[in-house]
Amino acid sequence: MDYIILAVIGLFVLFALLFLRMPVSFAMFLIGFIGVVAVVSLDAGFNILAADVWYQFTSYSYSVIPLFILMGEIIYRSGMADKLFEAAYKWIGHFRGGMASTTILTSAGFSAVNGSNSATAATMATIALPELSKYNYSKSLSAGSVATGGTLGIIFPPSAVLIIIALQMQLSIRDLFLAIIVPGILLTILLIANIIYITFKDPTHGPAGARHSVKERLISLKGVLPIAILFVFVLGGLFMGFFTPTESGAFGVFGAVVIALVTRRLTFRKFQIAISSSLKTTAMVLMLVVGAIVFGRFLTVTGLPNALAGWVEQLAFPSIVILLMILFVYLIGGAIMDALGFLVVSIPVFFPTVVALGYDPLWFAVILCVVTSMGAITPPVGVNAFIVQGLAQNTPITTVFRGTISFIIVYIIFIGLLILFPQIVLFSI
Amino acid sequence: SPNNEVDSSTNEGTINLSYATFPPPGTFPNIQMNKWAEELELRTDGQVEVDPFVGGSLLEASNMLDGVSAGVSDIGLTATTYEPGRFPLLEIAEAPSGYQDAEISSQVVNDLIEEFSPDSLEDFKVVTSFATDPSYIQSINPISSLEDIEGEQLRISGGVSSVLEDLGASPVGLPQDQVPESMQTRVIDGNVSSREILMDMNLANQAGYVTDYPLTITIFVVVMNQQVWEELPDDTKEVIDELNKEMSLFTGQYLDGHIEEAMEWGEESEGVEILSLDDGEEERWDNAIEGMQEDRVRRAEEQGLPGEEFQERLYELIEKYSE
Amino acid sequence: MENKQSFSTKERIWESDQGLKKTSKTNIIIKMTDHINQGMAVLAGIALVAMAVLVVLNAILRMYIAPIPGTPEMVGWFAGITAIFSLGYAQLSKGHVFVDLLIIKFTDTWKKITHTLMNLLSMAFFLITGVIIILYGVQLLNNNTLSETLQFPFYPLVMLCSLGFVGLFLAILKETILIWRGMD
Ligand code: NA
Ligand code: NA
Repeated sequence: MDYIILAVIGLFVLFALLFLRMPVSFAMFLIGFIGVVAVVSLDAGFNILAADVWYQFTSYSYSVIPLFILMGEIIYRSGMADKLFEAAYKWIGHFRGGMASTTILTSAGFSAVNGSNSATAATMATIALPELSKYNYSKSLSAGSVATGGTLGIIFPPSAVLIIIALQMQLSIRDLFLAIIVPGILLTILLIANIIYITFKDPTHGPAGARHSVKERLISLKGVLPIAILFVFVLGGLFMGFFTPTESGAFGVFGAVVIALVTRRLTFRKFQIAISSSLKTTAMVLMLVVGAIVFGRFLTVTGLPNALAGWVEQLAFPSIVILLMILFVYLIGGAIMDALGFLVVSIPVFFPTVVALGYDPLWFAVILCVVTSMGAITPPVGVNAFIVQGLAQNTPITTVFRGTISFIIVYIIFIGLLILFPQIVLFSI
Repeated sequence: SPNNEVDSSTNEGTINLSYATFPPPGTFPNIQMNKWAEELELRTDGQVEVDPFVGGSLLEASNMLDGVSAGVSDIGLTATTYEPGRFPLLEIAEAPSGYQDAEISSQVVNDLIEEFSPDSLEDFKVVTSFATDPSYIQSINPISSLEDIEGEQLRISGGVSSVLEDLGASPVGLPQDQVPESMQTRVIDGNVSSREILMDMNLANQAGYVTDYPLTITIFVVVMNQQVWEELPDDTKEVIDELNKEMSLFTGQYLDGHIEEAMEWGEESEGVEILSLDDGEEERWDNAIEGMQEDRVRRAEEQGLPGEEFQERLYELIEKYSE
Repeated sequence: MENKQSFSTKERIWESDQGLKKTSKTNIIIKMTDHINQGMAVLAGIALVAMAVLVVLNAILRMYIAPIPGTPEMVGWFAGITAIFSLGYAQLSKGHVFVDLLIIKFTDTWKKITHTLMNLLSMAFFLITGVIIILYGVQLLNNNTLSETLQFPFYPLVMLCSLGFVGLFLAILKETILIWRGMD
């Protein structure tokens, strides 16, 4: 029992360090190490730290992360998303709020070849914000739809968050990628429905654009082709069983380079920038992942996760109440800190409990991914909101968050649907 | 608790021993662990309790020995086959030697470890040791001749991959947990391991054929941190020593029964077909892999270890336990 | 409050376009930090590309001839170099995510003091990490540990990884110096 108290103290100190601005991964490493030293011994702490640094950083399973990051970076730096936007606009731009819906749809499409929400948000902000302002869209709807569109970046595969969840929960990356596609499409539809509802109530938020002929629409699809081909090649290859996840990431890099070269959008300089940016993201993500493992070892030796799972199992509450409580913790966690950081801290704590409650791990993984995505647009700490604020002219952060509120409500409704109808996730496996 | 200090907060005088393993829950090394823990608690009248950490949650295969030595866990289960270079003598026993089942290989290995006490285990207390039934080729395509196996990409644990090269196949090193997915995607054409995984990992779903030709074995050793051992009371030490051979036999027998069950299930429910080699073919295979053990004996001798003596004793013991 | 916060967030997304921040007053530690981390980032970049090439090559070869032996092992090593050698490089542009929700309410002096304290803690920790990784390499050498498939004595690679933590240490040191120069 006294070790569990140590675990609780460890969690408190961890959060104290986090709020004093120690990077999330550093704090997990540090507390994990000190915790193992406190519970076991100094030698044990040294062994865990050294062995985990070496064997986890060099684990074949994690090699998929830098590869998908690089693939997304190449696509992003070579600016293929604007063609996607153009096509989406020609198809749905003439509806009320059409330009905002175009933003969501383009984000979903771009996400199919990009695994990061910040890259998706930044890309969409660059492409869509000028257009939205040209058509006199309200600032809140513009910023809200761009920031929210970005969250789709980690919903549709490939997705850095899904990969991390899969590896931490020992699920198959491919199964998880497949399981989230239908829920992702449903979420996209709900987000667009929200835009239609907003502009129906108050048309000044988003006037309709020009209508395009069928011919124009069909021609516009040409611009979608490279991204569609890449998606089919990379994820099709993974789903059909031609590639392992790592191979699909490597072929994704290869395919992205080929397409960017063929369409003459890639210079050596852009390639260099893509690499250097990928290195930073890789270092950040893997530090988080390995830090979470070291921190998880500390929790393991204290016995806290199992004790928590055992305790929760005995509670008289129905499991749904406990699940909702856990999701509420995620909502708060995702609000006050970086959602990805919170995700990796929390998985070792909560996962045994959720499994003990009898929930399907794959379904829970999908929910976690959705909750983590939402964290990027919830105030006060929402990465996507800050990106949009940084790139939008004269838009205060409060306006951005005012714009994301209705989308957050849609997200919460969507999570409710997943809980009420788990088949949405589970039918595809 | 992960150390064996007397835990004052619970029953007075209770000793807690942490026990780390790397295979997933439910697999035979963990069944062995549970049985051992149960017997130990029983025979010490509840004086000793075991805290299990399975599936690599505390220590993973690659770091098991170093981790136990550093005191991360009091006890740890390691597979010497996963640590090539560290056990030159035991590597001789891994090579195909004519073990008929896990009951025989486990007892042979247990005796050999006791008699030859490998250098790498010097700083540990050996709790018990056992081995798998020989590995068999479990493949997507039927393999019943050297021509069939030529160029097949088969997953095998790294330490014994040379046996596949000798047979003309192309060995692939992959973590065990990636085997089913890799087979499904045809990244590999088959798997070479003890056959219980046909059922345990549902491999029978992919592998339609098992070639009836025994290959290498995997050796497991359970070690305890030396200092922890020394601090144990004498009666507990006695019980642990008395359990050593019992557990080896138990694990071998359990695994044999489990493999039989897995094969029955595979044949009946999944239509797995067992392919035997005809006489001439079997001789070709024997000739192809003959050199593996000899190479290992030679390597051990070069390092100043009694390789030949070990090999001789190996066959004596196999004969003894095969009766 | 949002200004400072959005600055740091925005910066960690966009710095990649601008390369590394150059400081006007170049101090020897700062110069050395930048050079070492940039040098290691070049190696990390090469490892990343090599990894992608190796995986693609292996997949093609296994379809037509035979896979390259030990590919998963080598891929793991490349991935490790990619991430570990980029640790300091990422830190130079504040790439490791942090939470500044609370700290932005502090006065400037307190902000500097807590930031410095946290940095000193991190630096001490990563210095220890670097040292024990070298010791771990020595241990692997003494135990004759070989990699499972290629049977390669990989301990030098382990020791090399401690450089990544030295780079990270220096990057945090640089950040700490800049805090007091009012440039952070
Ligand atoms: Na995506
Ligand atoms: Na948030």
